[in-house]
Amino acid sequence: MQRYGRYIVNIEQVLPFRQSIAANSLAAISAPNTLVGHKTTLDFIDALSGALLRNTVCKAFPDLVALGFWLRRANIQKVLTTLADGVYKPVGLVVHYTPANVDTMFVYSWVCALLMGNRNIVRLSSRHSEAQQLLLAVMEEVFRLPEYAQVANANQFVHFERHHPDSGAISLLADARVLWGGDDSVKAIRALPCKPRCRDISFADRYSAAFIDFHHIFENKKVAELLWRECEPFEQQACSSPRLLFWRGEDIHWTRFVNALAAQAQSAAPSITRKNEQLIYNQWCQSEDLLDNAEQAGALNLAHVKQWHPDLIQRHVGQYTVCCIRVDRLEALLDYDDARWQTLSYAGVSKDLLIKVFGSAPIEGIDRMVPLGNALTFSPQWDGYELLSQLARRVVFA
Amino acid sequence: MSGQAIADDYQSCLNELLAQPVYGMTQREKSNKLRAIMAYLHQHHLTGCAAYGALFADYPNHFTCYEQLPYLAVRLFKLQRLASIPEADVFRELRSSGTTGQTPARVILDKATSARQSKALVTIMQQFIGKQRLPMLIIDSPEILKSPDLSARGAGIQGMAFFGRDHTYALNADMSLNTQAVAAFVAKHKGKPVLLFGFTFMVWLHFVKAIERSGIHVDLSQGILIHSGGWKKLVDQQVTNETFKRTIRSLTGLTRIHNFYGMAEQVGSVFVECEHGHLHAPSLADVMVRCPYTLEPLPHGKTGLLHVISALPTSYPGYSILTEDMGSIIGEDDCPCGRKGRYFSIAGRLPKTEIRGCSDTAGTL
Repeated sequence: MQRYGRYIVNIEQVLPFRQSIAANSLAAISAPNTLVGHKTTLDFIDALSGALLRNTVCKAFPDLVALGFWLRRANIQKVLTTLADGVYKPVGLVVHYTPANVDTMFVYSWVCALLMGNRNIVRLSSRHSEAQQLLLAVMEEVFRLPEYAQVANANQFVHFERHHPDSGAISLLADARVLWGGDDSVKAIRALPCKPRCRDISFADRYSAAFIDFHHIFENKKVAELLWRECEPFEQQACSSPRLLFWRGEDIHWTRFVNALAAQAQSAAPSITRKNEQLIYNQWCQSEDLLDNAEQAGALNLAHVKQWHPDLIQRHVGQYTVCCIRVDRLEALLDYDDARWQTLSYAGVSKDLLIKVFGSAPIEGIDRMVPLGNALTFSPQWDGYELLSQLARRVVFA
Repeated sequence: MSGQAIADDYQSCLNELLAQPVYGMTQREKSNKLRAIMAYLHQHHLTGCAAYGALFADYPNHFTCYEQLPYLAVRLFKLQRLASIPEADVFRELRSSGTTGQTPARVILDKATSARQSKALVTIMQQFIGKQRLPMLIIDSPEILKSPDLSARGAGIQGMAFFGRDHTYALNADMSLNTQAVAAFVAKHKGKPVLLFGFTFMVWLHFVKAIERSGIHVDLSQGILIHSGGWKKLVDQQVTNETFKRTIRSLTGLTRIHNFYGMAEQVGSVFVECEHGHLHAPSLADVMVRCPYTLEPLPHGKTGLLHVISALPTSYPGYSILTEDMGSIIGEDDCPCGRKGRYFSIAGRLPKTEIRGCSDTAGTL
């Protein structure tokens, strides 16, 4: 190990238990890999699911409840079936760099790596939200169970600063790195030294959009609720939160929908700065003729796009602003193709039509199209990656 | 209306306002006169500034009260370069980082606007320090003026230095108290009126606290202290305006202390604190309060975002600005100090917004 670098300053291990430790002494480094979909792993994940869903405090956090459901044995079995037939082996040690504020995100990608038999070092944020504290406490409970000692041995959650002197040495241990963050953070981490065959799975800056065809919508209330469900969590700042809304329909459709949306978008946590931030965004873009007027629907600022420009996304910082673009047909969305476009959530249009329009088009963006309401639901196919197979070696028997 | 006609009408309305005493008009008289100027300024910026035009071309151009005026979010001056004059007429570009962030606000000035601002500042300040130039103690280090890029602090000092003579700097380059210079200044002007100026937190941290610590005797009982620049750092140390004044009084005997509220985006039309601790709107400016949750106007007494208007700027569209400062209007025409018009108090800044989401990796901030 020493040849990879010097280990100077201890880092902080958070899970499976707290201790100050030299990075090269982390148990995951020398622990054995396990088999793909190993029984103990599946039991552990199910136990974690149970612990989250049973915990009464967790019930107050929709993210944690959603995570608990996702981790249920039945769902994890389903996740494993997305793997193409074949023989898979773990890649080895996966180092995860997690986002600061989407509290549960790191668990999803870690579980994918865990399922494939890898050992993991997960670097956590220093800014622990209430939800994250709770999540870590529940995880610790499960890690402490004697039947999961091997899982605890092969998985450590740690904290160290970005400029920690051993940052490079830790990166050099990785057989794969999972990087969550903005473009600059991801670039900075990728600049750290790594093994020649190390794989990087980078989740950098992305944005998402929704499409609603009101000609085929009969329940405005339901559709409004689904859109709001995608906007509300994480203050609309997750990469899959819709920032753009393409819509097709008549003026009367729109008016009715805005009324329905205004009724839904009342549940937002009050923010003393939001309205001013919305004003700044609107004025900045209106003054350059990118936006027309804007209308308020509850907490949402519906800003009508006058002239499409990437700055509309560049300047967008969540704050419940949705840039609205009226289109006369689904094909018009192809004009807005952008490599940073991650998710299209849809309503009033069939999957068949989506496949017809986007399936054969040479698009650079849009990695997933999901029915409206599901944009924030994690799946092991994310940002165009198949996480399970990317975090494994496929062995071919010819 | 042609550009020239607008300019002429603006000038004659402004002259009429300038002929009035700074704090002599009742709110009713003043708002009638000021509203007319605002209508001209709106027209002027519609034609002069494309960005302003794009924002407010559809606005009605008749206003029955200030609340109907369009306004720009103050942060736009950090995000954009907003000018209402041809490039050839640009006389100076003021850059101020303020206390909030790294991106400076950019304020485009022509000679006319700049002259108007200086004149307004003089007229307002003379109400508090008189017409005579007094010996002046600047609570800062002389180094602040030496850096090649004039900082907001440097520009503020330069502007205020005009009101004094025999300028003495009270601090060394390392912000320690220059006891020798201060003692010499005090001895030289003993028993005579003097002017002191500094930024609020500097005055407290590096002057008041240093005098307290060193135990030296500084008699400034004939002094007038003017200070500005925000209370945030003092609020963090739980120093109120009362504590600030009381401490200075007990240490130096200085009783005439005036804070003022102003911003780079509206230089000149400052709001100065009276003997009763209230900030007053001068003839050329006024203030409203808007609800941070709806941006609707709030009644007197309610705390919200300050919306400030100024009759001065023609070179950039900053005559009506929604600030990120919180405050409330205390009353109109009835301050015990005798000054007419609106008076108000500041309640701090709008907090910074937290950026969440995936695009922010652990520990990068």
